[in-house]
Amino acid sequence: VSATLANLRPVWVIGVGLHRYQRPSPTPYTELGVAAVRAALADAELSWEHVQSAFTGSATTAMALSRLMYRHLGVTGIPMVQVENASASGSSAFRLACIDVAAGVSDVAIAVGVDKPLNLTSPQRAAGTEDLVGDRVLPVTHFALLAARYMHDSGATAEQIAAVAVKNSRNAALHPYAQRPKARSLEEVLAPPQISGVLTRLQCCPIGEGAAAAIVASEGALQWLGVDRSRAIRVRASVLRSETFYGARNFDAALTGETTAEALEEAGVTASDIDIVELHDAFSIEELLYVEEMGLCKPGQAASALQAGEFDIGGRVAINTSGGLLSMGHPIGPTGVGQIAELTTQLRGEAGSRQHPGAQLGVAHMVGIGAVCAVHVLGVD
Amino acid sequence: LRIAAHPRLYDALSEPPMLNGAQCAACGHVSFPPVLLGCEICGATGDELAPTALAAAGQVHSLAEVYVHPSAAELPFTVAEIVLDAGPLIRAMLDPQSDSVQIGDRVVGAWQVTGIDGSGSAVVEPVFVAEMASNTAGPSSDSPTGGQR
Repeated sequence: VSATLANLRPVWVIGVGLHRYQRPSPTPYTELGVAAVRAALADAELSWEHVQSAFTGSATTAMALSRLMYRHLGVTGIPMVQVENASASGSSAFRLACIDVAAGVSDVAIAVGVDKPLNLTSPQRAAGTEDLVGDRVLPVTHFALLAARYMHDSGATAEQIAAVAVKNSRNAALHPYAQRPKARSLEEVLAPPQISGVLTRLQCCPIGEGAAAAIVASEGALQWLGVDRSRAIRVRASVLRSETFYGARNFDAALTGETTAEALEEAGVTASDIDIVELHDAFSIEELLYVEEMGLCKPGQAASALQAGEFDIGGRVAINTSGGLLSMGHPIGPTGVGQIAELTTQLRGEAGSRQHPGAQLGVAHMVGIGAVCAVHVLGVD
Repeated sequence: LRIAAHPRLYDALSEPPMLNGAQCAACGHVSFPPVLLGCEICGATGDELAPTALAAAGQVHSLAEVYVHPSAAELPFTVAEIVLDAGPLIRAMLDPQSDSVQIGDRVVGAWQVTGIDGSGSAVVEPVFVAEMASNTAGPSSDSPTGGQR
């Protein structure tokens, strides 16, 4: 019998912290990570000695980076491990921290995402795989191909796809840690340079550096640490899946649909219960594809729903209140943990000017090259 | 004589171009690029996996014109996703002169010369052209893309 979070010990997010996502700088990753950890500890009103295990999501910095960072918090000898799963590295680290607590291995665990784009590697090259296009198809062209097919199938326009970046930039303008903290008009988003297909520069996420941390705890830890229960957010589901075979159907979208469905079932909720979503909008078109696959609107209706304001803060279901990968940024390792930080802040009602009113249930979604997909469901208990 | 830019992927001497696929005898799955280490559907291995030649012909699933690229020699270029008649969804280059090709159109492979090797042989790769164009008004022998037809 396989276990899920729903039939293991309850897990709560009790503290989150961020280091601003930013363009690559000379700042060492250790400073980025320690800043996020200290912020999460302060948020949870804990000290480092309380943390019993550490999972570090990282994909582009260096091997074995955990201890060189955590040593600046004091020696405790706790288990620590790097978790690499491409763009889903942070989400995977968070999942492992949750499982560690849910299984009773630890009562307080931390997931930290930290990265600098120092070592970008190619699994295809290592595998010796070849195809007819080689490196002529970069990620932007992968998604430009998806955009063209989506426009063909749904009748959506280039302007409607660009509107994703407009909305997410508006949200990021309210986020003090966003890499692109400027609200952009449709004209600005559509302005050259056009990179591939309909995708312009501002419809592609910036890859930078940063850090994010989330502390999870058991019911027992909540009690003996005296955690403020009104600020503790329950992790209702954690699902990680990998690509199967979908024929001509897009694998990122199909995998998103499968993984989200499994996570919602695990949480015992339906798509219509969701108030807020942080999803993998590395390229604008992804948001439209994924909200449809998640069941947040009917197939082919995402562009018109977006246009109608349904995905705005204050709309029917707020998508990427943080600004998403497009505007908050995508430093790889931190991104999935940063989504947890945003959901937690929103579900606590502490998001200030970007607060989605009445947020009770949130979903975090990342896909990673490979392909893998991680979906977490968080809720006010 | 033609030399394949990627000998593992196609037979440069075939006419029209044929792609090197693989088929699994256990589950029937056809792959391109050829997967011979283990079937990506059922895990079959060894003699169950056999190379099979696939016609470079199919239907355009999607298209993207690339305007910015860090290492491309010539810009823009167009990448096509094509569902081959044999089944696999592949990505390939669209012939630069086939800019009228749309999603849903039938396309077929044609040899494009990408360079000349040390012995004077043409190095080729398959690009895709509209099926009608290839039958009636395909690139002439002095065009940049049709020199080896």
